[in-house]
Amino acid sequence: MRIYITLDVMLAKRKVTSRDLARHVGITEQNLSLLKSGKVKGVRFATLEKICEFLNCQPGDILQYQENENRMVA
Amino acid sequence: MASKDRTRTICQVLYYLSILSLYLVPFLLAGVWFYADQLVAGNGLIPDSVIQHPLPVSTKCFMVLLMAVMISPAYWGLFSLHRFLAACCAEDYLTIQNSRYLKRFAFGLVGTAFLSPITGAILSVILTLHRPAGQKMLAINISSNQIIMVAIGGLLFVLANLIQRASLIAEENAQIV
Repeated sequence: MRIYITLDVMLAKRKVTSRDLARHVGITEQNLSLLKSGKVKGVRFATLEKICEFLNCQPGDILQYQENENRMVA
Repeated sequence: MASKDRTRTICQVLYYLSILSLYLVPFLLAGVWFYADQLVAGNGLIPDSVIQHPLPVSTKCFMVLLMAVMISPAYWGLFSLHRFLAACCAEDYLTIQNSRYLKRFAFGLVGTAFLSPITGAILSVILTLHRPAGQKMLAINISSNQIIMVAIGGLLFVLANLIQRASLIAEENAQIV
């Protein structure tokens, strides 16, 4: 997948623990861990909204699109 | 009562009924042995006058054997249905395994429906085997029961396929946080 989640970076920047974020968003820590490691197929807008609200950031701060390596070389 | 709870209650009732049926079927076979004469007399296919009464032990054995062969697919299906309902009682509705159980039950019903005329025909031959040449009979009976069983089997097969598709969607949905 070429969409990368940089949630852990944002958590470190804001000095927030995963437990607090999970509690605010209303998901389990296990699911938050899966989200951080990019092992999920999708993120609900509601989840994204609550994450942005808690971390005071934009969706673009936690989601990153990386172009294909071959294309980047060309 | 919430709809989910109602479904669970219905599943529980059906689950206990399926267990009861699983225990009753072997007794039904035993009943065929003890009430073979009455069953044959009231079959409606072969006139009672051409049947030898009381039935010989070999004929009774064949009757029980044929009945066992006929109901074996349905019994196998019933066992799968029992597992399906057990999963439903635990509110674990949408799984691929559940769709497989339901498909097995559907196949069981259809299998019994197809075996029924065949075993009936064999039984008619066995019952009139002692008669002189020209008076032996072969009766093939296809009743509305079999047609209904095939129709229900087909419908359950479609439902099982729908459960399979739904379970795939549910699985994908579970991966969305």
